[in-house]
Amino acid sequence: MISKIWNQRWLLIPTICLILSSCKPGEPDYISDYDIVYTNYKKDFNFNSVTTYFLPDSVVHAIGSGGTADHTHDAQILSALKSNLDALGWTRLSASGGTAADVVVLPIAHGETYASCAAYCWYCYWGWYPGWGYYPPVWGPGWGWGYPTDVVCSTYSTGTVTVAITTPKAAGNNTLPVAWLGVLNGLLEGSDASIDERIVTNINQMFIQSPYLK
Amino acid sequence: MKKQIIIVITVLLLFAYSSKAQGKVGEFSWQASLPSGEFTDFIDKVNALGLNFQGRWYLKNDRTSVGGSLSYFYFQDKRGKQTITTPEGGAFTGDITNFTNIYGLQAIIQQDLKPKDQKTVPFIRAGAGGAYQDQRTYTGIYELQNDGFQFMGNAEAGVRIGDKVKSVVLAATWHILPASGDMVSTSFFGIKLGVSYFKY
Repeated sequence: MISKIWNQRWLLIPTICLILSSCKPGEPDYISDYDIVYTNYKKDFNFNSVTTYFLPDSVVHAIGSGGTADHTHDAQILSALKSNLDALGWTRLSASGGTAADVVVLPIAHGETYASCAAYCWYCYWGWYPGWGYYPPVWGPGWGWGYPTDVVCSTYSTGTVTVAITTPKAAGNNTLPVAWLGVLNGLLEGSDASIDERIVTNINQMFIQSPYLK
Repeated sequence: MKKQIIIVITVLLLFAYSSKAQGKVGEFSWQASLPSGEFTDFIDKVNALGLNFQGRWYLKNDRTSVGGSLSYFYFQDKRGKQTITTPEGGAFTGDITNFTNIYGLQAIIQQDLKPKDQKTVPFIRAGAGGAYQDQRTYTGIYELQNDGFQFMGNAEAGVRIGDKVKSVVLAATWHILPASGDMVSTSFFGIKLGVSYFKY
């Protein structure tokens, strides 16, 4: 038998093709398996000095021209952020309070397929926040980005939520410094209930993997 | 690297021919492999997909054979949800699956420990050459890839059982592919089961 096979030299070709073929894993079983969470921070920022924060009451949606924003999950995003920020011992200040917060937390949802987080001046969407007036000079169009230099934003083909903790008191050189950045990706897929559940889970994960915030 | 591999294989083949080869043998085998060393940081599971095809020529002494082999190995490790620290100091959490495809081309030398016409012939074998490896990580919708050419060496001890022409081969193997570029150093033990056919 073996000799017969061996004598069929043409079998060498499919054998070599078999050897040269490549394999790859199967697809994940659940949508939640596609969820990823990334965080990074400015190494020289002292988070222990933070006692107050400002969190807007809306989530900015970065959408392409002609697109419409889906605000279904905004409340869940803001609620999960507030819970985690409060758990740090930080106090939330209101826009009408007249007191400048140590940090301003800015959430944004990238609901557009293949949107790039680096393509948007997302804090510009909030417009005027009264507390910002306390940080000279007053911001206006033309202010640049404050991402930590080692953060690379990739393209996203599913929904993404980005959260930045910015430090307005340290603003300068037309840059709003970002002390901490959290990105979660893959959340805007599946049913609303499962999305809400994963939003909470993954925003919690942002803070779990950032113990230096405390 | 490529040039060195080609030179080694060419020298061995010329050596075999110039020594008036005393028969030739082909072998096809399947291998299950267990990662070892630093490779376990990337893959830490037994993987059962390893294929090897080789041809060798016997030298005058009738105990030593030299030739070449073509091999393929696939390793996969679904690690589930993991949190890792990235090189720039960030933290990343995601469902991680590591896998790699390895394509090897080696020069082989084998020493039979008994005359080759006996029914049971223990042997030791060594191989050196090069491999193209494609290491990838799937996480979320993203894919990280590190690939390139590496040195590949292996040592093997086994036994061939059969008649003068047809045999079954059972062997224990160890492969090493040192780190190259961003690719993780790769080494693994294996159990190999194959068939061989002699032509005199």
